[in-house]
Amino acid sequence: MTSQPLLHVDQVHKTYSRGVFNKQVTFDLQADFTIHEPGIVGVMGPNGSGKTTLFELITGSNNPTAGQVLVCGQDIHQVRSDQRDRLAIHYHQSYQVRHFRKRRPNFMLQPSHTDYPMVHLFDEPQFNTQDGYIGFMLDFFRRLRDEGRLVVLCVHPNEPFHLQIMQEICERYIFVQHGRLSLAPTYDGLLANPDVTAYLGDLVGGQAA
Amino acid sequence: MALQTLRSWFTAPMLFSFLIFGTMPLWIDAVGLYQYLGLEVMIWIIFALAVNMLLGYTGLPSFGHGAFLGIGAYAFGLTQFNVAANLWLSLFGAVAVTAALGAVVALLISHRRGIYFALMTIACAQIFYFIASKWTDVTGGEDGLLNIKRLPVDLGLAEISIQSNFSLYYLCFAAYVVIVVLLWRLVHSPFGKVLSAIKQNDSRVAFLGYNVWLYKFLIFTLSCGISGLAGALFAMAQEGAYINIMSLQWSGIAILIVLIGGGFISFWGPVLGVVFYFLARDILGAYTETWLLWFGLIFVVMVMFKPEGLAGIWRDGRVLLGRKPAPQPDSSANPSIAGGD
Amino acid sequence: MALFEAHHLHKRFADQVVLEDITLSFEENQISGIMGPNGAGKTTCFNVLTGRFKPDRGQVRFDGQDITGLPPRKIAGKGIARSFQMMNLFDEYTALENIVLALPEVRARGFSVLHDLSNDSGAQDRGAQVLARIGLAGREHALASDLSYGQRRALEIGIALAAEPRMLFLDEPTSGLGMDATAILAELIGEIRKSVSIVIIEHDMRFLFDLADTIAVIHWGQVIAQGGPDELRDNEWVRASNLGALA
Repeated sequence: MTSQPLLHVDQVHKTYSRGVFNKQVTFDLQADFTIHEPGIVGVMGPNGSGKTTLFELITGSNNPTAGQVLVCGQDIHQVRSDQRDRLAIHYHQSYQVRHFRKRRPNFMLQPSHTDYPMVHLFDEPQFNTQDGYIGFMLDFFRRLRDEGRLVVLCVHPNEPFHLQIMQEICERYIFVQHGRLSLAPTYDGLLANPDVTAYLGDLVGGQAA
Repeated sequence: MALQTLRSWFTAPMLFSFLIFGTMPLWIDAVGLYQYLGLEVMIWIIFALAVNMLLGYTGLPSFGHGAFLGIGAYAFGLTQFNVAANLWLSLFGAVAVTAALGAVVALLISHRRGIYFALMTIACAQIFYFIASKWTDVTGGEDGLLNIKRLPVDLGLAEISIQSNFSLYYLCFAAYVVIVVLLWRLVHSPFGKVLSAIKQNDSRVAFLGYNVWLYKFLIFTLSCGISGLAGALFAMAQEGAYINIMSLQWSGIAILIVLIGGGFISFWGPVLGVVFYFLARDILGAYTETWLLWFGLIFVVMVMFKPEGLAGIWRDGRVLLGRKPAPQPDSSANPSIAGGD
Repeated sequence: MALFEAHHLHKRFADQVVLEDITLSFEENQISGIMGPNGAGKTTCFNVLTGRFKPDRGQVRFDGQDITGLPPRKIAGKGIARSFQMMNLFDEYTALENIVLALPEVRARGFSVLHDLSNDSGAQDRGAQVLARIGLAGREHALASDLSYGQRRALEIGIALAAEPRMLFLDEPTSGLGMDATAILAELIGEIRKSVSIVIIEHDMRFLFDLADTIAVIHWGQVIAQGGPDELRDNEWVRASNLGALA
């Protein structure tokens, strides 16, 4: 099982459409990537770009239109819904909700192969420089990584220190825009993408200054 | 120290009530009322005290307590018909049967509180009412259980007849004295203090290590037992046991009496409430058929302006008159704390 | 083995997961702290530890015994007392009556019906001692509802203390207190720690860092950091925050 990649998002498509007869696609997310090793991945992108949808697809709370998500080699959408959080967890800003759309009852699905989640997705955690919790949170991400897990950290940067955090802790990056993903292996590589610099705007300049 | 002990058993308001009620048959005719009214008042006071152990002291709204008054009456009659025509045995039968049925209900409802508790008591009362109305072989159904006798008081050496309302009244008064003294002790004992704490904050009581369920169970059972005693006396007063006292209407009136008297703030609230209710019934009733409507209006006004009831008015009056504040019974325990030092 | 241990606690309310996986231990004769941002699950964690809620998974052990899911009164009987963030006093009772009811000797006689509590000078004296200890001497006969906010907070702790627990859980004891009252409270806790092991859940980090021997930081229903105050302060981001400024 250890030879399996930690997370394999395999040709996943998610399409939202409007209308019954004359269908119009309102949103379309496409993702296809593989992460083999434990690590910390930074995800950025404008609101409505599909970050949260991507997270929902990975944790199995939202069903893809096509493709599959393999966590440690197991298709998460084939796992009992009450055990999917043993593979991947989606942390909302501060609270956590586990809600799964069921297509089949649990007894027709597989049990999870692991007891403690291997993929941790943090959706815009609230960082506040005043209270000091950032330090504990970053150490927690590192601890998860050192224990062999994959941390995916989604941040919507609106302060320079948000970028500082990303740069400090993340080992690779994913930029999401209009439902398309672009992967960057390094922070510099991320900033080399003109879409990213356009999205970040003053924040990058501010940090350089 | 002996005086101290005596004082914790008997208090001035208690002795005052003994004086008033103990002499009542001697002057009740003179003030234009009648002996049977005194009897009703005495029996209802015992019943209202039982209701207030739950409502005022433990915060448990039992909205179906009339059922236990009725069960006591039936049990009293059935014991004297089927077991032995002995007063003590029949009274014991009434109390034991009512307490036992109360315990069964308490088993079902003691984990509830507030509105859920109230609804459960109503449901149980309706079940008892239904059984009493259908089980005609035992209860006589709608006709009731007739010809229940006022059995003589057998004191071993002497036997006292209680055929007259006057003498039956004194049996009820004796029961009142015993009940009042015991309940007064009860509410000032650790047990009673825990009950009142449950009313104020039951989860804290549990975190202090008390078994809240068991306290509720015991006080409900005790309250039912006392209601059964009142029911037995009522059966003798009416010389029969009738189903109408088991109706929700009578349970409601019992609650109304306790609230109007001020059962939440005073031990004596139910006593004031019963006296007020029966005087209102007879005095207002003399002028208008719709006296209950007027009584209801008085209740509404009371709830709006003086939710502490008659006992609250009494307390405010004493403060206004410049007497030392709060000689109302509940807090009269405080000076005795100082006295114990 | 620590005096109090919690292993892999998991708790959810319907779809909402409040505790993901909490493992904690509290040593005897120490002050242990729990802190975390709002909504991190601190209070739920506290309620699971003290028996108010039963965890969906996991185990709570006290003094080597499994106490998971025991009702509050049984947990109290084992020697665990707690205070409440939302004050839970008996408002119709005097300060002294509030304390007396919590005394173990009174609890042992809780079903006595003839004994007169207000004439029991032993219980009254012991209650007065507890009141003196929490700084409420002279307020014995004041109704709990007539006490000031700070005095009510102190009484809240006094009730828990009166039960003579081996372990005392304090739920946000400083909440709503001003600087002066907080300082008095810190002094009080510093004094009572001599006789009881204490666990404090707290929002006020300064208060916790000054008092606690070990602190667990809870977020997302998990323990994200743990250690002594100095260990926790040894972090670049913490040093840069208000918390770092305290050191």
